[in-house]
Amino acid sequence: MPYDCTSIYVPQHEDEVAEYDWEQFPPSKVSGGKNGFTIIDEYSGIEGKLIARNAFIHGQVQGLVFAENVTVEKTGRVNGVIFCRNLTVFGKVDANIICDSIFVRTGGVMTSMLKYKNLRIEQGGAVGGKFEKRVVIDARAKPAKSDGGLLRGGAR
Amino acid sequence: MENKIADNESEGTIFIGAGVQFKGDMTVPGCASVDGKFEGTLKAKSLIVGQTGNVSGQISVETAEVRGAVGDHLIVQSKLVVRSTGSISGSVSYSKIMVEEGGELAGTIEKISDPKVVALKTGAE
Repeated sequence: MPYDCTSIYVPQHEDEVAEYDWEQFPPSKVSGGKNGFTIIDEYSGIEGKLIARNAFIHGQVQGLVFAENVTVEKTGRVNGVIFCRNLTVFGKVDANIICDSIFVRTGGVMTSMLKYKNLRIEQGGAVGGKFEKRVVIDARAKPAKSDGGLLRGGAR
Repeated sequence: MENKIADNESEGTIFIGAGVQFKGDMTVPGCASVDGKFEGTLKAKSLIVGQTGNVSGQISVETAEVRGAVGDHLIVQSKLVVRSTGSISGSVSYSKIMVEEGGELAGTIEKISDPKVVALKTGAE
């Protein structure tokens, strides 16, 4: 393995999330131009951390999903925490989510504490929970760190 | 207008134009179209908020199409459409939803499982 997945730091605070450089995200960095992907098939489940560049989830994930692009397919279920750049939901998600873009497709069901930059919900998608639009923070003016981590349940 | 989501020709409608501010309670049997500012309690069959429109307070409608800003408490018993320039903050209850890219939702979002229950709670028809 070209990087140590156990040493990947998961951003815990608003300023870290705002400044997170997805180009430096190890799975994306080491794969270079290659568009690698991970598939959790319909009959598989994961409990713990899923770290990948592109994750296609047909099965179940309970825990942290940390990836550049995440697609929760029709049969996919995610419970826990998702930190990603782009999230597409066809299946069911009950998670604490921080992302740049989220797209809930027809049939997708999402219940979450959601922080997003771009939101799109297709007709037939269902959402619920507490939503907050993320603001672009000027990297030069760092805000004070809050006491609680944004990604509850996430691991360093 | 092709984007209107309710046929309101046969029912009473109200239009609050850009620059107009209205504070108070309103019951509209048909369509309430807001390009100005509305603050208060609104019950209507359909709500259309234009790009310059700003609606806040207790809003209960069957359908809503939002291109401007809506705040506080919004209940949409049927279909809620948030266009690319629209933003909604506060508590939102809906039965069906669609949000275009660029549209904003912030606050507490809830899907209504049985619209009749909400109608009874809010006193809306």
